[in-house]
Amino acid sequence: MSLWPAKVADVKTAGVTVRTTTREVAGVRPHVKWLVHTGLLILAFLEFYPMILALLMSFKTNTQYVLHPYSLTFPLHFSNYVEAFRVIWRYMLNSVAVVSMSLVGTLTVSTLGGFALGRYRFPGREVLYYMLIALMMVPGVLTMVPQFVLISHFHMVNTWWGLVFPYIAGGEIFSIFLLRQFMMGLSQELFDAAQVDGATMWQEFWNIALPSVRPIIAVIAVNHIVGWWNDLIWPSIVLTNPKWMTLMPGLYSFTGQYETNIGPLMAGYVIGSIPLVIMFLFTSRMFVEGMNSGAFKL
Amino acid sequence: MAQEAAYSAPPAKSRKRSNRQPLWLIYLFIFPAIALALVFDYYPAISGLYLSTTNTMEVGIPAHWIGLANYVSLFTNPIFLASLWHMAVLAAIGIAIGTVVPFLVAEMIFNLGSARWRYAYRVIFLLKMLIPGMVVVEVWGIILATNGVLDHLFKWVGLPWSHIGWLVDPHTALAAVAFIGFPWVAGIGILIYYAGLVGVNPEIWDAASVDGSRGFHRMRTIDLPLVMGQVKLTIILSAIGSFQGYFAQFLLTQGGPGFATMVPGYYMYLNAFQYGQMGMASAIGVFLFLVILALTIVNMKFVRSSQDYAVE
Repeated sequence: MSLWPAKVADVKTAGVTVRTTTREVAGVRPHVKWLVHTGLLILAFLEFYPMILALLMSFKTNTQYVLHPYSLTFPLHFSNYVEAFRVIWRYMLNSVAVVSMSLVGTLTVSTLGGFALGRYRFPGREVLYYMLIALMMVPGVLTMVPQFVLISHFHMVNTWWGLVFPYIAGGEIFSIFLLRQFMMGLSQELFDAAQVDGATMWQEFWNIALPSVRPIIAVIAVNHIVGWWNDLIWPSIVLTNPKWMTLMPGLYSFTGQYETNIGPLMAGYVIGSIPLVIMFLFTSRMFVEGMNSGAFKL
Repeated sequence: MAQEAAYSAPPAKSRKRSNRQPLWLIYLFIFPAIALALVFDYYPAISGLYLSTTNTMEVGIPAHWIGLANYVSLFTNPIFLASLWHMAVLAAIGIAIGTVVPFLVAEMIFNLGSARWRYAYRVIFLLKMLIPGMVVVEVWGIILATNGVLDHLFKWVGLPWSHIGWLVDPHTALAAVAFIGFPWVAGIGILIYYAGLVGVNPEIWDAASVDGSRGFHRMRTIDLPLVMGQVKLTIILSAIGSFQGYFAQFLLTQGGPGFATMVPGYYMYLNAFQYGQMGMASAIGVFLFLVILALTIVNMKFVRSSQDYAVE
């Protein structure tokens, strides 16, 4: 769980070995080094300043906010957190449900599809693969409006399905692209041995392929969780009933209700940001990889 | 790269690949993925093209085909034309920021001696990417508000810029939207450049060091040409990002004051879900799609595959 890599040498990540430099990089003199540290720490402070501000404001009453808006004021009003949590716990649970359903769906269809495309030859394989991959060039702005029309025809407005199906259909594309490549890279011997023993296709998939690609599955999962948890615009179009709202549209409507009550509002923002940070503590290495793999995306 | 090898290697072995499984079973494995893609990706994409040629107002209201009328009225609509200009301005700023800042910060981090610090800084900036964009933008709304943090800061240093609110003044609103997120360090760009620097042969720097090339001079004359592929990639990614994004408009300005911060993406949202003009909204969607598609094609043709900057 440590944030530090055990050994910064050849870090093997999900089948991709990357050389990392262990030697000192030439050209940085000690006093320059302190300058660089100072610069980076200032940048980090500025980058996180909105979060620091939210944290400071989350403990204030309105009076404290009017008198000292941007500094720490005592006493700290933890009751703001209780008040905010009373409203947004439901949205958080809804988000957990939607993200879990979408994740199970995406991983199921994309591991199955990636396995078939990566390990088997069959008529139409290339066509089907490129048909899926071509969708990487279709941006969300093109599909948003017609997708809403479709969701309406399916009577999925104000249901979680209106999020889950588009999330799976959007998430599976890049997942299949990655999984197919990793499935292709697996050694054939394991599969040969299994076939000699009369393994079915399902057994090959479940007992051999799936365990072997576990690292890349984790990377895909982390990447999707972050994107779906923080999604605002699509869920706020699909879900208008507070009963079903996920966290971001929930926080958005919470913002409307608490505009003049800054303490609980900021407490709500802080609470909403915490779950992913906790997840990060448990998956920091996968997360770094996951975000890196985001660099593949267009 | 290992992945590339995996990608190009199969033909030698593929003869061995089993086809003992019945074909229908193989198709059954990919069926869910294909079915979902057809229904929820392909159908919307294609029906979006069609919708853009109809006068559809809202779901369920009958509409008919009107050819390219939506496009004609868009390109004679002063609000849309203004939004295109705003998009160009924001994209120019976004590209400049998205290319320069991550490069400089990646250099700063990469040149630190300690591997631990290098990892720590990267993790710190990555952590920011977890924070919901909505929360960040909402707090920026407070920073830029009348008597907000920025106004206090200017008052404190004695600058007479006290203001009616940076997002409210039509002269500053667009600039204020562009300023949101300062100092724009966190993001995928820093990883792309860092991976690029890791991939450079260290002997080049040893040689540069012997020649007395250091600091900014080395960055400009040696490092920059070596990460030109990454520069192109971040240009394209920033451009695509800023053509599509309308978070600040959605949360803070609603495209205003007046239409001072209107961008096509948000105008599409408004047309579809506020004005009841779904046909018009689809036309904007198609237009943005074509712009982005052109960029993607440029990217694939002239920029090295983004896989080249794989994982560390």
